[in-house]
This record gives sequence, C-alpha cells and structure tokens, in this order.
Amino acid sequence: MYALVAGAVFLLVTSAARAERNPEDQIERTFEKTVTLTGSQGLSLDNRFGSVHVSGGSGHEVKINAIIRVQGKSKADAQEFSDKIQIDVQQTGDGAHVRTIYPDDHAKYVLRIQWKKTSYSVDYNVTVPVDAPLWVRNDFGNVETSGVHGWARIENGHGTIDVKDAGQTKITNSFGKIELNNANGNCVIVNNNGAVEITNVRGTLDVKNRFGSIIATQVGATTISGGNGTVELTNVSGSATVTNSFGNVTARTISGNLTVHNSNAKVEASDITGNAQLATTFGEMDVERVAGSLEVEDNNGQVNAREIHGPATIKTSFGRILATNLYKASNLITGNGNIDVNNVEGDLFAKTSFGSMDIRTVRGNLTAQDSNGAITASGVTGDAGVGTSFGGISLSGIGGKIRVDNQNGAIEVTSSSETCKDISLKTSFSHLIVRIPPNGGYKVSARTSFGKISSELPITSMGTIGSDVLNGTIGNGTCILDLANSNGSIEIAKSR
Amino acid sequence: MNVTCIDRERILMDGSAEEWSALEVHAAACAECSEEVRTWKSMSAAASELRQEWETPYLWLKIEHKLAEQMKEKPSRMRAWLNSFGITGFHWQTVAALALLIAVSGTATWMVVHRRVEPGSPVFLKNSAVNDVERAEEAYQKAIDKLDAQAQLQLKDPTTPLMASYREKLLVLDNAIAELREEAGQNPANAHLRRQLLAMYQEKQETLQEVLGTKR
Repeated sequence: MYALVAGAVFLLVTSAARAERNPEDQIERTFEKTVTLTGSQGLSLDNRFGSVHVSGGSGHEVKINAIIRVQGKSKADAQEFSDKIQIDVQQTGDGAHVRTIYPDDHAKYVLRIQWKKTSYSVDYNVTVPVDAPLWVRNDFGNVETSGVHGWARIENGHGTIDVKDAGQTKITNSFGKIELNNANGNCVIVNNNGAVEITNVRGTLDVKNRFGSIIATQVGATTISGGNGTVELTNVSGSATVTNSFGNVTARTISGNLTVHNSNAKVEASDITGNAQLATTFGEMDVERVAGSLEVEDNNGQVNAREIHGPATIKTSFGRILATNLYKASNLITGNGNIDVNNVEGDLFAKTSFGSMDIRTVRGNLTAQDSNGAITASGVTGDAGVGTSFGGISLSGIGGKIRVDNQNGAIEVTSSSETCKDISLKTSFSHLIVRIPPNGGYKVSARTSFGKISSELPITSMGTIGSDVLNGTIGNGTCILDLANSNGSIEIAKSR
Repeated sequence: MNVTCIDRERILMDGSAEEWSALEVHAAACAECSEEVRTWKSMSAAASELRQEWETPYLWLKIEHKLAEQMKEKPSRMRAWLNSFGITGFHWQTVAALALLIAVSGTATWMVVHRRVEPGSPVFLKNSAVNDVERAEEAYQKAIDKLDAQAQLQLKDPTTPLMASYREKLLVLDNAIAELREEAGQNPANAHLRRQLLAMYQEKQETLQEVLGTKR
C-alpha cells in the first residue's frame, strides 16, 4: 500500500514536469477590447479560471487583453470549446463590467459528456485609469494588481493575490497567500487559509486571517484578528490591536497603544510609545521599552519585562516574573513562580504563592507577600512590608519602616536609615536577626519562647525581664522595635 | 450618528448598516458624497448581477453547518470507553504511514506546490499526464485517509481548544479539497487547480501529523 503511495507521488512529480506549453491539442486565442471611462467610472472584472493582472495606466481607457486557452482530446474539440468561451464586456453609466462566460455554465451535465477531458483557462491582462475604482473577482487563479490608486475590492478563492501601489483596498481570499505592498489608503484584508504579508500602508489596516500567518510592516493604526498562525507587526504609526490563538505574536515599534489578546502562544512586544495591554495563556510574554503603562495578564507562562516607563501591572499564574527597570509604581503577581525584580522607581507590590522573590533596588515602598518561598530584598528607599509562611526573609538596605510577618522561616533584617524607623518583625521556629543604626533610638519589645534574646546595643530595661522577654529602650526610644519569635532566638545587632 | 466626508471611504469599504444609513443621510446634502455613494451602489449592484453562481458558492455556510452538526453529535459509548482508557494512540501502520508520507511525499509535493509559477508556465498538464496525476492523488488521499482515521479518535470529541481548532481546520481543508476535486473533474488538466489541490492535500497531511503529534 505504502509502496503504491511512493510510486504514485513519483508519478505526480514527473507528470507535472511533463506539462507542455503548446501541444497539438491546445488552442489559444486572444481577446482584446478598449473602452473609455469618464468621471468616477470604474471597472468590474469577474473571472473564474485563470490569472488576472490589472495595472493602472494614464488616460481614461480600459484596455482588456484576455488569453483564452483550451486543451481538449483533439484540436477540433479544443477549438469548439474555445469558441464558446465568451468575454462579455458591458459599459454602463457606472463603468465597464467584464466577465468570462464558460460553456459549462449552461447545461453543463450534457456538455461535459461531449467535452470530457476538456480543460480551460482565461488569463486577463487589463490596464485601467490609475484612479478608477476597481472590482475584481476570481476563483481559481492568481490575481495581481499594480498601480491602481482608486478604491479597489479584490476577491479570490483558490490562488494568490498580489496588490502593489494601491489606494484604499479591500482584499478577500479563501485559500492562498495575500501580499499587499504600498497602499495609500485604509485597507481591509480577509483571508481564510493562507499567509498574509503587508508592507507600507499609509492608512488604517484591518486584517482577519483564520488559519495563516500575518506579517505587517510600516502600516497605520492596525487591527489584526488571527488564529493558528504567527503574527508579526512592525512599525505601526498608530495604535494596534491583535487577537490571536495558537500562534506567537510579535509587535515591534508601535507609535501608539498596543493591545494583544493571545492564547496558547508567546507574545513579544517592544518599543511601544503608548500603553501596552497584553494577555496570553500557556505562553511566554516578553515586553520591553514601553513608554506608557503596561498591563500583562498571562496564564501559565513566564513574563519578562524591561524598561517600562509607565505604571506596570503584571499578573501570571504558574510562571516566573522577571522585571528590570520599571520606572513607575508596579504590581507583580504570580501564582506559582519566582519573582525577580531589579530597579523599580516607584512603589512595588509583589505577590506569589509557591516561589521565591529576589528584589533589588526599589525607589519607593515595598510590599511583598509570599506563602511558600523565601524573600530577599535590598536597596528599598521606602517602607518595606514583607510576609511569607515557609521561607526565609532577608532584607537589607531598607530606608523606611520595616514590617515582617513570617511563620516558619528565619528573618534577617538590616535597616539602612540614618535615623531610626519603626521595625516590627515576627516569626516562629527559626532565628530572628535585626541590624539597626547604632545611633538610633528604639523602644524595644522582644519576646520569644524556647529561645534566647541577645543585643549588641545597650538596652535600658524596664518591667519584666527574663531570658525570653525583654522590654526597654535603645537611645532615646523614639521608634518602635517590636520583635516576636516562638521557638527561636532573637538577636539585635548594629548595622555596619 | 453623524458622519462626514472623511468617513465616506471607510464606510464604503467596511461600514455597518447603521453607518451606511448615516452616510446616505449625509450624502443627501453633499454632492460629492452623493456621487460616490451612487457610483458605489451602482457598481455593487452591477457586479452582483454579473456575478456567476456555481455549485459551491456557499463554502463557509457549509462549513459552519457541518461544524454545528458535529457539535451536536455525542460521542459513542464505545468511543467514550476507549477514550477513558486512553486507547487513542498510534497503531504501527499509522507510524509507517507517517514516516513514508514525510519521507517521500513531503519532498515531492513541496517541489510541485512551491514551484514558482513564472509567467508562461504551463497552463495545462498534458492529457496523458492527467491520468498519472489522478492516480497519484487517489493513492495519496488513501494514505492520508489512514492518518485521518487515527486522528478522528481525538478530533471527534475534542477535549482541548487546540483539538477543536484542528478539527475546524481539517473541516475547512476537506471542503476546499472537495471543491477543488469537483472543479478538477470538469477542468482536469488545469495546472493551477492541480497545484492548489496538492497544496490542500499537503496541508491536510501536515495538520494530521500535528494532531497525532500532539497526542504523542
């Protein structure tokens, strides 16, 4: 069975190669006609089998050239069929209307017996006034237009569409590639199952493609709706909205807002002058250089964000968040992933459940909430409020108030403030170390059980004194130092 | 809704019914827009009248209808039972079919399908070659059908959006193949039809391989 396939496919290739250009059983005849358009008259052309090429020309004339080709059992058969193919040209007040009439459009079931094995094709080469409206419909053949600047509507079924130097254009295809280069107007592209490539549209662009890739470069404000194919969007002079699934989305250099809704695939976005709103599922998100705000929602994917100049909100589940240089207040939330942040110039809220946090340089307040992971933070100029359940917490270089709520992990905190700030630390089943400025003044309240309390700084004690309870003051006692542990030691040390 | 001349071309190209109504109201008092709207409507009407209808003009409607029918279908008890045991994997014959199709037909059809069609390329296959091509297509389709049968176990009752998407795509491809086969039956040596048909077969083969690969 499979050997048969191999042999059959071989035949397929060799048979195709055996196609000949002008065998004896082929007839070729040419149809030519010229009509003149006036005012805003246009051209409609309706073909079915064969290629269509339309180009814009000077003057007001429509020059129609059609080559009718027929191949039959014999030359006589081919000739008979060829004679019955008509090119119908009508001229009305609206313009010229051209269509191909094939013999099998009428009584086909009778005629097919006679013309069995007859094959046919009609290729058009048409010149129209450069600004004339154009309507082309084809089914089984390629369509090409060039230099037609009036509005155009191009439709095809099974074949490519190639449009160059156009005006406002709508292109519809079912099964074939669409290429559009240089359009000086708004464009609408609809495809079903074929790639779409668009370059240089000086107007808005609206693309829909069900099963195929989409590439658009140097276009105006753009809306793309894809599926099952990749989307690449570059150099958009306006806002862009992309909806896709099962295909990666890449958007670069968008002079406006960017909105992406993807699913089951990756999203990459860079150089967005406006706001970016990005969503995907089961795919990585990579975004950099956003001038406005950033909103990311990912489901089961890692998020990488760099150089975000507006407020950033990043949410994901089951994925890591890597963020660098967030220039405004930011919210980073993941369900089950690590959070790694470097340089936030504003307040930072970070939350995860089953992952660690590594936070470096926050020029604002830090709020970090974890459940089952360690938290490390350094270089926080403002207050730090940090909580976790089953992980260590290490804070250093904290300039503001510090509040740590841990349950089953060590706490190691260093305050970098020149003056004292309130510090409240709580944990259990592990040790607790706090380093404070030697010249700071604290009202100390430390308590633990099954552990000991020690201090590098002199403390004036008052009230109850024991190995597991200490109340007193350091210096003038201006700030609060509240330390609570259970089943672990407490250590008060000088910050270096 | 208020529209101006600036909105005219956009509405002509892709406007909603409401926008069209607003444009017509505007055009009643605007000579320029009035002329454009009149021309557009006349052209549209004329083109529609000239438009031929064929046996398969409603491809998308058919696809949608078929999809709706499939959505209504409930999986058989046997299928559900098999699925519950995960007995939807490869048979060795399928693996063999995949390997052979990839190794032999993949390269061959790529050469045919992706051959650049230069102006002056043959418009027709020779009549003697058509029979060879038809036999090849038939054998090729049988091989693909074997893959299809295996894939149907996963596609009939898709449990993921990806599988639902594959099913939709295969339905689209099957309709395209049916349409092209019908046209090729009436225009057998038309090389463009043959190339398109091969492209659809190739895409169906690749899609089925992806479906089965997903299962793997």
